[in-house]
Amino acid sequence: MSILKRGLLQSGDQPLRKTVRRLRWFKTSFTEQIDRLAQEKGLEFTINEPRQAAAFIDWLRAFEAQKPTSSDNRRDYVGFAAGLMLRALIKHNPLELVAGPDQSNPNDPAHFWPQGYAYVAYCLNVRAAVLEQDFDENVELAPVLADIKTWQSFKENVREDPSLGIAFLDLFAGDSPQWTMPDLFRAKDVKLIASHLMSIESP
Amino acid sequence: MERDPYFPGRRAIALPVKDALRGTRALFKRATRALVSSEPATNLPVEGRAARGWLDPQIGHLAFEIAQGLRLDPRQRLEVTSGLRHVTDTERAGAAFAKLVRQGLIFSLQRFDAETYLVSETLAAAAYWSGLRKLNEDDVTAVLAAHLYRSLIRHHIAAFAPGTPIGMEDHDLEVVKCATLATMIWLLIERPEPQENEDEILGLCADVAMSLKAEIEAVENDVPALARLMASYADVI
Repeated sequence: MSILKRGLLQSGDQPLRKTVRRLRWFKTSFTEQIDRLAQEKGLEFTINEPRQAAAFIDWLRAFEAQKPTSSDNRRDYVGFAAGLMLRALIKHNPLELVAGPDQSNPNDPAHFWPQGYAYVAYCLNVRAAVLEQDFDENVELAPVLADIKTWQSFKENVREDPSLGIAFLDLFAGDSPQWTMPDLFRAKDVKLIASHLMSIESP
Repeated sequence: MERDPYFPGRRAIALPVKDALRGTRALFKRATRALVSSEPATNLPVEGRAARGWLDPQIGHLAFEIAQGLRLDPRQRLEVTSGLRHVTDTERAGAAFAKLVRQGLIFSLQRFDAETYLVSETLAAAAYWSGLRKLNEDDVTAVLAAHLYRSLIRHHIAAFAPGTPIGMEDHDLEVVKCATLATMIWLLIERPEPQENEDEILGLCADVAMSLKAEIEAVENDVPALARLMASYADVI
């Protein structure tokens, strides 16, 4: 069962990349994601609305702070923005688990860390929806998304530093994660140049 | 019947009388809560329960008012849709503003679990006139919202009821500021037409305002910055 659901997130009249910056849309789309998880994974949550709003505000500030001026970097910024959302959700943790599945599978990431799974699912779906609508990209996720050891590392690391959620989301999405200063946006061409410079200078 | 020359007229005293009655009800509510919360520790006698039985209906109307949440009549929905964009200096506009602001504040305070404050419609109306006087002709709507916010806070729009033996602490003022900011953002949001879910929208404004406590502190004495803050968040609700 794929974590991605095509058509789950609708934007109405405006482009999705603009709609995602509205709290009302965020609330509705997040609830849709949670409802879907309840049906598919047997996970039931309640949403703490003040914490949810706080996560959105946190994300919006971070999004605006590093939004690129050049349209060349817009595609790369989509992935980074989705990572920022994951960081905000982990930090503010608006979901409270009410009930789990009848039979828990310890190797299922959704059962291992229900809230984390919900946040990742939401962010990956928003990321995929924007890339599909604005860049005509069909997203394929990385196999590591189903690997329980990666999830164990993910949960442990973001507990200490939620910003690492940005790098983990890239990893789950099949992009190259930036483990050093993951909360600093770098477009892919800059990363490529940097990696060449690093290899030239290393002994 | 001969007219009393010293009676200012029903319309002039309506707001102060309503506020006074609400103040009395708020006192009853605090008394009832004090009784209920002290019961396990003090082992209140049956008389205490009887007192509650008498008090409960008295505060019942106020509790009912709060439990209903935001209830806007069709004309108020139109007023919210228009928001602060077409304010006028008529008595009717001031009264309409005062009523909306009071409802907005009560709803927000309830959301913050702080509904024992009394919100004064009289002071809201006074704050309206005071805020309007500060406005220049070419000021944008958000600047008006900023002036009104400051005016509402200066007029102590929400506080404990007169006679309550405690004063407003810093935390109380912070909560009132958040509720006031929420209400102003609510009235700044552009709507193409009346919405059915104004309670949801105001709820979001309240949650956002609570996240902006530090920002309010930083900009509340800077009208342009306060206006920009309100406008930017009204845009994203």
